Amino acid sequence: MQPMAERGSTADQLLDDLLPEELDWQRLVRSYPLPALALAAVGGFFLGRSRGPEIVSALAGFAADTLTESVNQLLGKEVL
Amino acid sequence: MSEKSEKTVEAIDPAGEAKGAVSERLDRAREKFSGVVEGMEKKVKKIGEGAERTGQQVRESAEKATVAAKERYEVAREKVKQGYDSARKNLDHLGDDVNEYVRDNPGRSLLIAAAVGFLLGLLLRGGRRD
Repeated sequence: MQPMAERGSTADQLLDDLLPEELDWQRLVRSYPLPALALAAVGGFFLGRSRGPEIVSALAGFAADTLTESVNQLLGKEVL
Repeated sequence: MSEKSEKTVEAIDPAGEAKGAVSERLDRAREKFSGVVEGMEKKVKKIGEGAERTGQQVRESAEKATVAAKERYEVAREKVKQGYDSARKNLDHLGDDVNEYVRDNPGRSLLIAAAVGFLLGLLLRGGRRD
């Protein structure tokens, strides 16, 4: 069984999808771990400050949709 | 003639007696005064000795207090130094651990950092509604 780091975790795959392909972000993060963390935290901070509520409601909506779909699948009919 | 001389002797004698009495009183007063002066000198000497003793005691107490304060300062300094060294070692270890974790899990670490920053930004947004 391959280790998680080699296989690439869900987070790695998500970041691979989000960031441009030319950017070797894993190499950068491994070379400069603390600055990379600081940059991510600062980015998250400004994102939360400027678009926080919109992102939270979008995530809540997505979670509600997923939950509804799962419940419907589980019950075999559209109840929600 | 003999009658006259008897009268003169009688007249001279009271003056001599008075002179003697005055001289005697003067002598007594002088003795008393010298006694008072001696007593005062003794008292002044005693006070001086007492002051010297007190000064010596104060000096000794001050020296003892200085030594005790120096010892306490040294102990406190040693403790602070030990605490600082220990905290520095712990921080170094923590930094090493964080670096290792980030190198092992780059994506997860970035997402966790971004999520923490996002939550902080959301919380510190205040009552802004735009």
